Amino acid sequence: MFSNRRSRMKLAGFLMVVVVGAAAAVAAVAGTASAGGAGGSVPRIVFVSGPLTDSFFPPLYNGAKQAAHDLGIKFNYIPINEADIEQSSAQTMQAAIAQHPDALVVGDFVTPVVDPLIKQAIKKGIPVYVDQSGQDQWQADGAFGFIGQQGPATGQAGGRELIKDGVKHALCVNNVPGNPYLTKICMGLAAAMKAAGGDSVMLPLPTADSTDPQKVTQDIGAFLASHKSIQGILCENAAVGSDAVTAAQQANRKVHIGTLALSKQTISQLQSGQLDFLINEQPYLDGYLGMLFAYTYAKYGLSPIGAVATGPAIVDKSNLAKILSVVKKYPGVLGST
Amino acid sequence: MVSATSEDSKMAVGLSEADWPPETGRRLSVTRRFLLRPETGGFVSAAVVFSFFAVVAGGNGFLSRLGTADWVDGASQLGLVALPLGLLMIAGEFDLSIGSVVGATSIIVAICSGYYSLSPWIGIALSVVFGILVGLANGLITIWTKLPSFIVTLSSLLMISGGALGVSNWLTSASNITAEPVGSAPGVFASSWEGFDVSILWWLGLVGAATYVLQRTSFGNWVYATGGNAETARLAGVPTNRVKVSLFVATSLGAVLAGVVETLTFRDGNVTLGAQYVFTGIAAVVIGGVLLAGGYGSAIGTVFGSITYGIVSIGVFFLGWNADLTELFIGVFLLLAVVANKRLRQMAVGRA
Repeated sequence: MFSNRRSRMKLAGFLMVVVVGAAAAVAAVAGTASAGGAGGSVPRIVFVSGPLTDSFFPPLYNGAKQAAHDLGIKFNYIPINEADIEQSSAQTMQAAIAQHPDALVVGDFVTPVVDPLIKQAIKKGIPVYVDQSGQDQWQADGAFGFIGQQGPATGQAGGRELIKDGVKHALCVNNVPGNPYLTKICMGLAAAMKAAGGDSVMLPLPTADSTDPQKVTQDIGAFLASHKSIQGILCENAAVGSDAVTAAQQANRKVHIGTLALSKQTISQLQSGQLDFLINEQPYLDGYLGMLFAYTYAKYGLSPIGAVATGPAIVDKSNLAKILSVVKKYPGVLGST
Repeated sequence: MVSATSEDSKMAVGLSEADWPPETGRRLSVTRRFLLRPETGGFVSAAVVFSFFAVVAGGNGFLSRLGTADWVDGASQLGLVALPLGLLMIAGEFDLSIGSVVGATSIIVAICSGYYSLSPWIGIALSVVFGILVGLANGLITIWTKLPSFIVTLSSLLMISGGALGVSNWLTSASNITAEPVGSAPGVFASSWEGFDVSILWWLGLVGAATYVLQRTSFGNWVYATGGNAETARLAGVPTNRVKVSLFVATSLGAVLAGVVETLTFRDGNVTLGAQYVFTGIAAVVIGGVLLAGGYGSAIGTVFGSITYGIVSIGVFFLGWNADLTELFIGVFLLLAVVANKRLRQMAVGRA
């Protein structure tokens, strides 16, 4: 085969690329082994957070990117794969720790998997800031702070809005039943309803259904049909909120509906009156301020004490105009477009 | 001149590289013999992607102990599934149900040890029985109906996935169950040393066993013969039905093992665990040199295929490139690896 000179040279060239690649790798390791770490001139900050296919996270990513640009930070965003969330949570955290960044900002969705890894990062000398999820664990894990929303406060805010509309019997739709943060939101709603003399019930959607709009609409519709007293619904993401609107229309029921998370669809549904209110978690701030505080902590040891609340912020007809102008002028900041 | 495709089809009828070239009286050089081995392509893919990430991301932690452990662990879990799947594909059949067998196993183990607080070994034993039954069903239905195994196992994928969700909701009203780590089982399946999981040992041990079976036993010959041409093999006296059913069972048990390892590692049971293996398992097998048509390949090839996928899927986390395009990069790197693999084979067999 290699009697032909050209093919011999082709093979040699091919193998050389592989060998040179490996040699360069060794050189790269030797050369850069001393770089990185807190002594480097450009701070390196790694985010481990949700996938950009989930409409909640692009504003968070955009906020973090903007802050990295404004502050001159070398930024790496590692998205967790929601389809294989346990294994992905472990692999992404391990990859983040292996990079030994100056600070690590993490969304703690699957707490049994991520908490031990947060502790491992801290033991290795990487300061960890918990972002958006992990409200109850961040302190015990040793992270230096938390930014985001608290579940109970969010549920209470939703409850206040529904009570204002005259709702006495509420439904809370939980689209990720294993997530403690979302469960606490429903519990917050229940507490608010009870204090006002009403009640609330939670509908957990099977995780397999939660991303299928048709199934979600059917599940909510079926629940409405069997629970005639429900006057108000609180949903926990934009897609489910839209599906609840559809379900109520199909069931011909007059219900007051509010949801977490802004999106083009929920904003227009708010405009047309199909949705009564939106709860804005302001993920852009989770990203921007999360990056900012990680930077000030890594560089100077300074950060806000305790948990920083970026929500709940209520959006209804009274402040809709401002929201609309921002969505038009700055796409990707408030929600999915 | 012999083209690559006719070379592949010669391999597909069961000739090993020791028989090639037939009767020409020419001895092959060591280089050429090495390049003709079924696993060389997978090795090249793994070497190419490793070199790439070592150069571009080596300084960012890809080559550190923790970074290496990250992709090696991922490769080992994928490898547990890809190994028996690879043997099954050499024999000419597919199994798509592996995606839901992993999830169903995690539900069984988590309910037994978490919800009912029994010893995890009970859940593991039940999962093994479940895996055997699934494998038997897949194999026997494929043989009796003569339908393509792709279709049969696609239906079992959906049935098992829905059934696991139903059982989970019926028994515990939840689709996500935590499993408490008690007893010796977590040590056997989920312990780790310096970041490297014990699943690596399981994986390499099973690869050794599979290689021995393929190369040194008559069962191994039967596997290649069945994949090359099942009808001819049957006429030659090979018990093709027995071979196929055994391999379906082995594939399901591989998925069960992966499910047990992951459930005990994450201390959590979820129906969706391992759903990705439907795609990544077949990808690892094909990158490792097993032909989609069957009849050619090796167990060690699936090792390199799993390693390639592990390196690519974890390596992207070290690049710091635009996060919107993470999945795009994974696809591109895999394609590059497979193209490099193909080019090398063409060079190896292209000039007679």
